[in-house]
Amino acid sequence: MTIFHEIYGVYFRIVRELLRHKRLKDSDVTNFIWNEGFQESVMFLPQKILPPKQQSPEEEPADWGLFRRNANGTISPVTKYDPPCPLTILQKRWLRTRLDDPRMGLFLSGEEREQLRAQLDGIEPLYTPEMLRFTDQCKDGDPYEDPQYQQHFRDLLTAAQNREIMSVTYYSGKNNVRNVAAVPFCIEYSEKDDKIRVFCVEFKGHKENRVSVLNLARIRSLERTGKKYRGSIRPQQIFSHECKSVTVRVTPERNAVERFLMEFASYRKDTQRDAETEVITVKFYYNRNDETEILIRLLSYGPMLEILSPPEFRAQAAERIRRQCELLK
Amino acid sequence: MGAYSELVKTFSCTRDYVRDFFIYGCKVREEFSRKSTRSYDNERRRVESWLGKYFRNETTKRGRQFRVSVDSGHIAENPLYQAYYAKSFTDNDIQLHFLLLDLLADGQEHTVSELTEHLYKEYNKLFEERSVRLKLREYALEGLVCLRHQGRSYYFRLSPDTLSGLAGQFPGLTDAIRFFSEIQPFGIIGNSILRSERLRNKHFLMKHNYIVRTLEDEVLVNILDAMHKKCWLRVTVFRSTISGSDEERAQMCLPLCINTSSQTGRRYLIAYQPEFGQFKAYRLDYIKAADAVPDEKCPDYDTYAAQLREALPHVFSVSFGKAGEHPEPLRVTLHIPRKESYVLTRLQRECRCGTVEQVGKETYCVTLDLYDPQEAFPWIRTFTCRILSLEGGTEELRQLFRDDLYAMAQLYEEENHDDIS
Repeated sequence: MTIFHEIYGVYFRIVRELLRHKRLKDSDVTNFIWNEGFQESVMFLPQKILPPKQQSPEEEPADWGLFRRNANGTISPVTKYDPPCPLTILQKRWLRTRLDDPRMGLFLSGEEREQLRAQLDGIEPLYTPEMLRFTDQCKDGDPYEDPQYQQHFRDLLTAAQNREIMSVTYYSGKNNVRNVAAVPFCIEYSEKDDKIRVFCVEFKGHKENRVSVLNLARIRSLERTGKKYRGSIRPQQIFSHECKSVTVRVTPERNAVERFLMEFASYRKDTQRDAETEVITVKFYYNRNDETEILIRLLSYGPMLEILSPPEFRAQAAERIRRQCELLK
Repeated sequence: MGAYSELVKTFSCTRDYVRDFFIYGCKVREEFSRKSTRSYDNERRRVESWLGKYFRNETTKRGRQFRVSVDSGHIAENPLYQAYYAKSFTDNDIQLHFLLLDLLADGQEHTVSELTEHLYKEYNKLFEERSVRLKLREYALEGLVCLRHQGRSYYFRLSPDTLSGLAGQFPGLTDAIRFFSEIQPFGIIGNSILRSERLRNKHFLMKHNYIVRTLEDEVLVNILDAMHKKCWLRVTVFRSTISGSDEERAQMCLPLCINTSSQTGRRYLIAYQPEFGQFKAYRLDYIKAADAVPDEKCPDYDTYAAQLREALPHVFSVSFGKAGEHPEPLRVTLHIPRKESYVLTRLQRECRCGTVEQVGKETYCVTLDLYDPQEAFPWIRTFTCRILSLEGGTEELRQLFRDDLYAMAQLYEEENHDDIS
C-alpha cells in the first residue's frame, strides 16, 4: 500500500475521464490532456489513447486499445460502463484518521461521525493522535468542538460558496464589538496559531469598502441577509495588493542558511547565493498584516541574519536591538 | 515512449530534486551532486513538466538556476502533489486496470478464469491467467476489489465504497476532504480522493503552510507502521546541505513519535537509539528510506515510550542534550507594559513547556527546564527589546546570548549611532 501508485496518477485519471465519454474527436482528447495533464503529457499520451486512423494488420498497435475508431473518425471507449472509482484502503485509512480530528466536527455532526466510523469499521487509522505532536503550536487554539463555533464555520462556508452577504457581529482585537456586512470568500487555517480566519469583502452601505480578515472564534453572531453578491472577487489579485517584500542576508554559521530557507519556504522568494562565502541574499514577499510577525521571526536568527531593505523595516529591527542593548547594559 | 518519460519508477530520487528546487532555488547544475541514477537534465525537465507555472529560471553569473516559486499561503492546492501523480506503469497495467474494473462494474463476483476469458471475448485482449491473478491480488491489497475465498477458488468483486456513495450519506464530507486535503501529513491522499471525482479545493487556504512536507509522506507511512507495530526501524539518512550531501548511512532505531514544528517547518522522527543509549531526533526530510523490521518487535517499546513522555517536557524542540545530562533551568525576565498586553498573550501561548509568572508590575518571568537551553534562544530573541535578564544555563551560554546581541547591534550600527559596546 503506497501513495506513489499509478492508480492515483495523472495518466490513469485522464484515461478514466475520457472513458466516460461515449464519443470523442481527436482534438477533444488532446485538449483534455493539455488541460489536465502535466506540461509535456501531450507529447506522450495521445498516441497511447487514440487508435490509429489506418493500420495494417501486421503492424503492432501503439495505443492501449481502450478506445476504438468509428467510421466517422471519432473514437469511443471499448468499455461498457463509466469507469468505477472505488476508494482504496489507503484513502479509507486517511478518512478514518481524519474522523478522530476535532476539526472534523466543523463538517460532520457527532452522529454523522459515529455513523461513518461504524461504516469504516475494521479500517485502521494511519496514525493515532499521540504518534504526532507539534512542538510549538500556540496553546490558545480555536474551540473546534464548540457547537456555536461549528455553526458559524458552516454558515460562513456556505456563504462563501454561494457568495451571500452576511451580517456579522464581531469582537475586534481590542475587544470592541463591530457590526459588519460582509461576503466571505476564503477560509484560512493556520497550523502555527491553530486558528481559522475568514477573508471577507466588507460593505459600507451598498458599496464595497475593504477586505478584512475575521478570526472565526471572535465572531459573536451571524445572520444571513439573503442577498447575493454579484460583483467579482479575485482572491489572488487581492492577496497581491496586500503584499510587501523584504530583503535579508543570511550567513551559514550554525546552519542558519538551511534553517532560514526551510522556515521561509512558504513565502514566494528570490534567492541569490555567493558560492565562495555561502552567504545567501533573499528577497521574499509577505502579507502586510504579518509585518510584526515577520520582523520577530527574522530577529530570532540573531547575528546570522541582517535585514537589508526596505529601510523602514531595517530601522524597526535596529530600534528593537538598540533598546535591547540598553536593557542589558 | 522513448528514452525520456515524464513518469518515474521510484519516488526517492525525484523527491530530492523537487525539494532542492523548492527549498533552495539558487543551485546551479553543477551543485546537484546528490547520487542519482538519472541525469540532472532529465530530472529538471520532469519537475518543470509537473509543476509548470510554478517553475522559474534565471541566468546568474554562476549559471542558470531553477526554482519552484510558490506563495504557499495563498494557493488552493499544493503543487508538489504532482510529484506523486507521476508513477510509471506498463501497458499491461493500464489495460488490465480499466478492462478488469469494467468487467467487475456489474457488481458480481468473478473468478480469475472467468475474467481472463471475458477479457479476450469482450475486448479481444489476450492475457495470461497469471497476470490477471497478480493484478487482482494487488488490487485486493489496495482495496479496489474485494476478495472472497471458497475452497480452492477465489472470487473477486468490485469494492462498493466510493466517495459519491459516502458523500450522499454525509453531505459535509466533500468539504471536509477539501479542507484536510491541504493539511499535512497525508493531505495528498485527500487530494487523490478529490481528483478521482474531478473535485478541487477552492475556498480553503493554509497559512504557515509548509507544502514541502508532503514529499516526506512516502517514508512517514512506513515509520508510522513501525510505531503501530512497536517494532524496530531501519532508516537510511543523509545530511542535506545547500552545497550537496554527505554519504548515506543506515541505522536501526525504535520509532516513538513524530515531532512537527509549525514555525520552522521541520518534522522529526523521535526514536530510541540503542547505539548511544538515548533518544535521538531524525529530520524526516533527511530520511531517504525507512523500513519496519517486522520480525524485530521490541518487547520494551512501552517502557521507552514512557521514558520519552517523561523527557519531552524538558525538550524545547528536539534536543535531548548529551547522554546523562540533566535538565537545566533557564529564566528569562521580560518587561511587558500593560498597554502591550498582546505581548503577554503571545508569551503565554508560545512558551511551550515553560511557565510564566508575573514578578513585578509590568515584569514577567518565563522558566524553562531544558536538556538543551540553547534551543530556546531563537524564540527568546523574538522578544528582543523586552528582555531584562537571562539567568540559568552555563555562563558560556549566557555570554553567547550577549555576544549575539552585540553582534546584531553592529550589523545595524549605521542606524544606531549610540555606542553600545
